[in-house]
Amino acid sequence: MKKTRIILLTTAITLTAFWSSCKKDEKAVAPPVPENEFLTTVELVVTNAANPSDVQTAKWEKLNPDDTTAPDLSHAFLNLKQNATYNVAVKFLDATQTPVADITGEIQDRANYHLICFGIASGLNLQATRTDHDNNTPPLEVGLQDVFTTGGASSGNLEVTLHHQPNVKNGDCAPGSIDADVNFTVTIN
Amino acid sequence: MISKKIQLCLAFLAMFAAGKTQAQEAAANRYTKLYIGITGGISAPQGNFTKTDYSDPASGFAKTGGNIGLTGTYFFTKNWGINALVSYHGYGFHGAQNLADGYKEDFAVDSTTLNVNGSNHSINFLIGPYYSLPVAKKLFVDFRLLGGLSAANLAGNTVQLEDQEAATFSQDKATATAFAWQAGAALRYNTSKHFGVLLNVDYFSSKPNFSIENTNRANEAGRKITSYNQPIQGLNVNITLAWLLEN
Repeated sequence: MKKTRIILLTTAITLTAFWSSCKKDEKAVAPPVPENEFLTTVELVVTNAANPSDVQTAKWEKLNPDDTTAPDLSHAFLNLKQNATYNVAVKFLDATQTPVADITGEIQDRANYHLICFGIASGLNLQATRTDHDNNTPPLEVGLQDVFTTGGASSGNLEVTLHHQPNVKNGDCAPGSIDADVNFTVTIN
Repeated sequence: MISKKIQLCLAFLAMFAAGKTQAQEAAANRYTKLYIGITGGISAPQGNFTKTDYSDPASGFAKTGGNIGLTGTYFFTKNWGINALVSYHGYGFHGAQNLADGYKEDFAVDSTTLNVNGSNHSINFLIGPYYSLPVAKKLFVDFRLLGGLSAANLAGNTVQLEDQEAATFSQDKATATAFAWQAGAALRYNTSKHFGVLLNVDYFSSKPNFSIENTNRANEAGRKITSYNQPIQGLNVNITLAWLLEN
């Protein structure tokens, strides 16, 4: 009887220990947390390739991204020369912080799944070419550094969008979500 | 008359004493020739295999689990034998939250959901010398050193970024076979002529070289493991129920 108890007890301990190791199908969720950073401002720093002292900065700003207040477009325009080439730097800022936080570096660090796209209105003689690349294999364009090439006199809207494409970046603008969508008025004369 | 009785008693006692000595000798010459047992218990891995650091590619995310197996020893002499062991080691998985949090940060998304696919486990075929040291009438301290093969399996995972189905990617489950060894001691108590119980403590070690496939990794971002070559080692604490055969 005593031996039977010993055998039953040891069998139970053994099976319990083994059974406890057989749990599968683990799952973990990293839930959303409140955002603590805004993207309030988009700047285009445009430098004439033929004249480095010819520098313009266009700025689109909306300090309260969550409300319905219209953005500040007072500096959201560019005046470009005809048939010229411009080197362009796109910058993203959080102007709700003091001093203003430059988020461009973070986007650069995460360039492998970010893409900046340009929507050029028909009739505006402007061509935008991205010149920087990420670390994907093969490397894909990013768009923080660009070249604008102008044609004849014209004017129209330039839409700048920052696309967040986590694990879906393929060089196209379509995948992912849009972190920023802003518009500038461009005049070429 | 009295002295005759005393002589008779002494003769009887002498005969009894002689008979007892023969029985003791016979018992002393008996020893376990073979035992076959079912063994199981706790497997406690150590080292990098148990780490849960998202940013460390050596992290194996394994935790203490269990093992079960069949074992047998054939004794060539009273003390020496050869032992074989076929066992399954199943380790738990922990640190899934670290992985989910890490991917969330590295892909700058609002949320991630990570599912662990499969399990960390191994099937082991080991054989080696066995030494048994009697310490009491039914109590022995046994030692063994085993070597052989371990077929190991590394768990995979699937990561969903927010609710974007197209962005979901996986680290596939992987398998690898490697040399393994195990060394340990056991306290064996023979509960009867044909049954015994062993309390085993063994150290096990192997170092499989996993080659890992990743599915739908479109971009170079986040933790991405393409190989894993870390020791799988630790302690087993087992109970073995043995059927004994004496010579």
